[in-house]
This record gives sequence, C-alpha cells and structure tokens, in this order.
Amino acid sequence: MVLNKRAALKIFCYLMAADGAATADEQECFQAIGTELDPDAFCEYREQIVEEVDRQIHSGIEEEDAYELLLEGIDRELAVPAEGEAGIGVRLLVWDLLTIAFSNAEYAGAERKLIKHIVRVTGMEHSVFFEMEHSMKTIAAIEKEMNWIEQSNRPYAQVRPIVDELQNRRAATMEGIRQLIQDEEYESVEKIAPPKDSKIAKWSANFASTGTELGGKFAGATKSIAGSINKQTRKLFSRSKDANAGEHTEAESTEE
Amino acid sequence: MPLPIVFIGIAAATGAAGAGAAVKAGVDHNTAKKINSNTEERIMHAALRLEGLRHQCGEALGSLGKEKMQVLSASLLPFVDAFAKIKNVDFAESSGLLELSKLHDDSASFEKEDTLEHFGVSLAGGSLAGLTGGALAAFGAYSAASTFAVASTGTAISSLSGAAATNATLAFFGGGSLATGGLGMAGGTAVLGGLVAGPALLVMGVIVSAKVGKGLEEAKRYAAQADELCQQFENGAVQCVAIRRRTWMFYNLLARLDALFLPLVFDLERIIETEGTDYALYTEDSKKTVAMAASAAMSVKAVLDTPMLSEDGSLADSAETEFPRFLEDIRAKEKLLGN
Repeated sequence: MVLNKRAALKIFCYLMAADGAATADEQECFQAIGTELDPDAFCEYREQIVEEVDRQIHSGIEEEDAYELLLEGIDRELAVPAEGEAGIGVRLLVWDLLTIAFSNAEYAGAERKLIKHIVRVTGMEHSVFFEMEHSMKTIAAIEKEMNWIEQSNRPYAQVRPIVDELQNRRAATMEGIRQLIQDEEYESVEKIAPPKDSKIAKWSANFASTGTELGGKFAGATKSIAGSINKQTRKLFSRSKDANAGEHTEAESTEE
Repeated sequence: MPLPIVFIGIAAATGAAGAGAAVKAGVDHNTAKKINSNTEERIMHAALRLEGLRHQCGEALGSLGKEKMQVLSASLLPFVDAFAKIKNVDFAESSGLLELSKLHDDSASFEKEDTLEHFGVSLAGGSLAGLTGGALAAFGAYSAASTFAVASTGTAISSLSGAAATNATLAFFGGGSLATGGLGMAGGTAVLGGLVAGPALLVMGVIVSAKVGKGLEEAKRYAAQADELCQQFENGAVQCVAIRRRTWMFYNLLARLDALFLPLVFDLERIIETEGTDYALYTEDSKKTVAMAASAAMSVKAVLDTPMLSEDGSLADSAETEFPRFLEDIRAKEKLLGN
C-alpha cells in the first residue's frame, strides 16, 4: 500500500495534536521529515495542511469529541490515493510517526493508540509495529546511555570505547529498521502467461492451413487441367501431322 | 494465355501455406524468447533477493554475536568480578525485584559450597563455554544455512555430512564456494567471525546450469521448472527474513538491557570502593543497587544463553517463546529504574 505524501504529512500533524499542542521538538522533527519526504513542495503547503488539521480538530460539538475528530481526519487522509508511484509506504509512515512520537520526552498513550489505529486500518502486520516500537525504544535507551557515559567522570580511555560501541549499536538498530522497511518494497517479477490463443498465432495457423488446403485444391485442379492440356496437345499435334501428310500428298500428286 | 495463370495460382497457394507456417514459427519463436526472458528474469530476481536477504541474515547474526561478546566482556564479566568480592549477600529483603527469590536460593546453595565466586562462574559459564567452542557456534549460526541452502556442488546441504556439510554451511554465509565465484570457506569463516564478506550469487550455479530451450514447448517446460525454483527461493527468503527480524529483536533487547545494566555495574564498583565488601554494612540504597544489578545480570545471562537457531537450522523455539518474557522483564526493570 502506498500513501499520498501530502496526506501522510497531514497524518503527522494529527499525531502531534494527539497529546495536546505540538512541542518544539515535534515540530522540528515534522519539518525534517516533510523536507525529506517532499523536498520540492513541502514548504509551499506546510502552513496550509497545519490549518486544515487545526480546522478538523476544532470542528467538534464538544471537547470530548477531540479523539474521534482525529480519527476521522486520519481515516480521510489514509483514503487519499497516491499520485502515481510517488508515495510513501505504510512501514515508512509508521516509522516516521514513531520518530515524531519519540521526539519529545514522552511517548504518550494517545499517540500510541493513534499509531495502532493507523496500523490496523492500513493492514500492516502487527508484529512489524511491535518490532518498530521496540527498535525506537532501543534507540532512546542507547541515546540515554550515551548521555550518561559522556557525563560520567570515568577516564576518557574507558569512556571512548563505550561511546563507540553505543554508536555502533545505534547504527545497527537503524540498519535493522531500514531492512524492515525495505522488505515492503519488494515485488517479484510476474510470470507471463504463454499466449495460447493470440490473434497472430491463430491467424498464422489459419493462414497456413488455408494455404495448404488451397494448395491441395490447386494441385488437383492442375492435374485435371494438365490432363486436358495434354489431351488437347496430343490432338493438336496429331491433327497437324495429318494435315502435313495431306499437304505432302497433294504436292506429290501435283508434281506428278 | 491460361498456362501461366495456373502456375501463378499454384505458387500463390504454396506460398500461402509456407508463409502461414513461417509466421507461426516466427510467432512461436518470439513467444519462446519472451517466455525464456521472463523466466530468466524471474529466477534472477528471486535469486538476487535471496542473496540479499542471506547477506542481511548473516550480517544480523554477526552483529548479535559481536554484541553478545561485547556485553559479556564489558558488562557481565566486570559485574562477576565485582559481585564476587561482596560478602554476606542476602537479597531476602529486596522486595519488588523480579527473580530475586530465585537468586536468593542460588546464593544459599553457593554459600554451602562456601564460594560466592562460583555464582559468578555459573552466571557467565554458559556463554563462556560457547565462546570457547567458537564464538558464534554458541548462537547457532552454523545450523542456519542447512535448511535453505544449496551447496555449490548443487547438493542440498542437509544431504551432506561431516566436513562437507560444515564447509557448505560456512560457504552459505560466505557467499558460495570458490567454484561458483563465492568466497568459499575463507569467506564463511570471515562472516562467522563477525566480518562482513562481499556478496556473491549463491544460486549462480543453479542459474548457469539451467538449460534454456529454444522451442516454445521447451520454454514452457523451463518456465514450469522455474516456478518450482522461485518457490524454493521464496521459501528461503521467508526464512531469512524471519531469522533476520528475530535476530535484530534480540540485538535490540540486549542493547536495551545493557543500557540498564552497565550503569548498575559502575554503581556496584563505586559502592565497593566507598562502602567496602560487606553487604550487611551497606546503605539501603546500595543494597537495592546490588540486588538490581544482580537481577539485571541474570536477565543478561538468559538472553546471552538463548540460541537463535535450532539444530535443523530453523528459528529456535526458545528464541520465539522466550522473547515476550524477556521483553516483559526489561519493561519492568526500565519502569523500576525510571528509564
């Protein structure tokens, strides 16, 4: 499933609104993702989609409608068709949603609930969601450990290898996620069906059999025609022979 | 004159038959060409995918292996060293910590033997034994190849035995044997040693040996054979993805666990430095830290001891069944430590 990029960016806005107003970290993350996802047009419609989302979440009758309004808005965006092949895969969308959700200190319950809703609606495998969530928590834990070790009063020689190892772990975790997202993009080559009854094949087969049939008929006809030609030729030659013989006799008799 | 017309007619009829047959042959040839080209593309595509996934799988297993060794040497062994120095350890009052009742029983049995050091050896023993037997062998990487690989000779690995099987299995991770342009044993060993070897087409031998038919019927037969081959590649790909995903899950689990454990080990060393080695004299906070570190050490050991793959090369049951328990355990610990 490929989603429309603009629609995906609106979904990010809905997520930021899920736990109240968007924080500075979330907005920064949104800007970075938007620029990467749609570098040519994002800056042109950024404000517009923020306004559209704002209108949607404030269109309720009462305050308690807020969550339903978010879901309504999200479902509407999920239904927007992608423009050709230029879209965003579901796994990448969910990963980006998790990135935004984790960009501020707290991964709120409302955000998690909303992401799970998207996972369900899009039909993404639940195990993939849990794997992504686990990876995101790992990255958060690694970042925290890195801050801790960098601020510790242990000697540099002891700290440096640990920092290096943590950087490797963060890169490895990201690699695992990259592979997981890439799995979604795979498409096997379709097997072509052998053209059993193609028009050209039919036409050529018919043409060949008609030709053979006609050839047969012509051969038969030729045989009879050849027969009559032979007969006529024989007659013709025998008549001229007789005539020659007559002429010869007449000449002889005249000489006499 | 009627004679030439007759012959023209004959020629036309014969020509029609010949042209029809020629067109049909041309169409058949073209169709066969298209089918063959599609078949080759399908095989190549599926093979390249399997090759890519095999490479990813080996890379993930190698990363997990390296991480296990790193956690063992940089976190677990320093813990064992520090913990072995502490006397009169009693976790009976450390309520709220998981598994500590079990740890308490263990420590009691060690006290009987009058050596707490034994606890440390026991804690790290499983992994150390595995490491001495050849780093990644302990993690089941060797058997990974057996299920879905085809040896470079074209023989299924499961049908080989002894040294030949080991060579073929190693070659699977290294990218096929030298005969088929892979890295052979040296490459396999490099991958298993945690180095990333350059990829080579595992199935090149299969593809090269496949005979492409020129006729339409031969092309159809070749396409049918390719269906089977592509299905085999797909089965292998599914297994590779499952193993790779589970391996990264464990990799992340260990990284999360170590993010909790290492600071606790540092705290433990600081406590010994500032409060001595008699547990009975420790402050309540220090006692909790020691208990927490010991609990985390047990979790780390349990993860280190979990093989990813079973004897037959499939994903080990324990890797599947134990994972939710490990995850629950780490969530509880993170909550307890405010992470």
